[in-house]
Amino acid sequence: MDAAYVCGSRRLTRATDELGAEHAFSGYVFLEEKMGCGIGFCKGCPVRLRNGGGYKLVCTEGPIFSTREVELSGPIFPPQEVGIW
Amino acid sequence: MSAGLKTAVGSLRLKNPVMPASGTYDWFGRDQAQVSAGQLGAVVTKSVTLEPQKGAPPTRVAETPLGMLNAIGIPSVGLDTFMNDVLPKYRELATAVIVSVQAYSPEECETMAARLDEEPRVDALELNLSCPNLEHGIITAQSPELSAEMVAAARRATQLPIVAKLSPNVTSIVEIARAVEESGANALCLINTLKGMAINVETRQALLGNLSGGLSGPAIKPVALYMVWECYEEVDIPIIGAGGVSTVQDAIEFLLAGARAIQVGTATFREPRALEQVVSGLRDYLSAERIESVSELVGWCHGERNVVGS
Repeated sequence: MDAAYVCGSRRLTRATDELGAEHAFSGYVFLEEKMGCGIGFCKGCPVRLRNGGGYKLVCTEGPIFSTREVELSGPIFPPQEVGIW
Repeated sequence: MSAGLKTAVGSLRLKNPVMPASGTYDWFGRDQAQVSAGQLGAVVTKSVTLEPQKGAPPTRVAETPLGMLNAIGIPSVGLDTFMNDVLPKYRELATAVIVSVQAYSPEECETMAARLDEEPRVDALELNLSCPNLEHGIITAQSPELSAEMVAAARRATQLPIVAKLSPNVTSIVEIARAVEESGANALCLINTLKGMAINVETRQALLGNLSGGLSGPAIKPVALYMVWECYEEVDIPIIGAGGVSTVQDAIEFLLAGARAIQVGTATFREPRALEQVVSGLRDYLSAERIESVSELVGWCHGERNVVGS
């Protein structure tokens, strides 16, 4: 197996990522996000990157991302993270 | 007839009164731009901050009846990268370039204005005094004193026209407008978004990552229109109207209320050619109404012409 593709569930995405790391295959996740324009103008559809790497836009830099790249924690972000930008 | 569309916002001369609202159009994105910048009166950049910042956590946008909420939080590459990598690209655009500046203190504002003053391709600065989505929750444009300090700081650093973009989230916008006029602003941009929120009933949490956001789109047009009308009565500096302009009729309403130029923002997300459509619609309107210059429309709806019930 060379790669696995996943969409819909964060839990399944995390599992794919963990299995990929264990068995040396690539994981890709197909993400969605509410969008304003859909063409990169409004910066309205960010996906959080791991290790404080900021954000990428789902519309123009996705919608398919490596599971290694994106933050896979729950969809509700804790309030204390609101202030970091 | 395109000579008839010429307008001026103070010393800033524009080939027509139409420009994008800051943060809503990008001529240098991945896809080819739908509207050539040369057709527009000006282009306005996404707000730039002195230091790089990442922007707000998701979710950043939400749909509302007749509009949308956003809490983008101004992701910015920072002024150095902006001046080295982004701004040079604007040199190729055949129109006026207005740089939107987001400063967090008068000192920062002065520093940024001084740096931008060195770039010959910048035709004006728009001071974003009114972003509703910033960390500390304070909107500069809610305080006449702080707004005046920001404008005065930029004024010390540059002779470029300064446009103060104000917030509708105030008791009296005229008070803020007067304060920035007295401290050296050359024009007003009215209005930024109205603060609002949305809640997801499934998670029972605020829908936006920032909790609150800014409401834009047709829903806020009447609010914006009245603020333009009110400020036209009370201050002397020219006004750029913004807030829910989607069609040429909206644009004309703002001109009649007293705006010398208008910005189109949210409408672009629904129709990427909205800017172009407003320009051609204005041209058609002048022609059909046999009006020689768009400036004849500016402020029509004031004084003796404003006959109640007419």
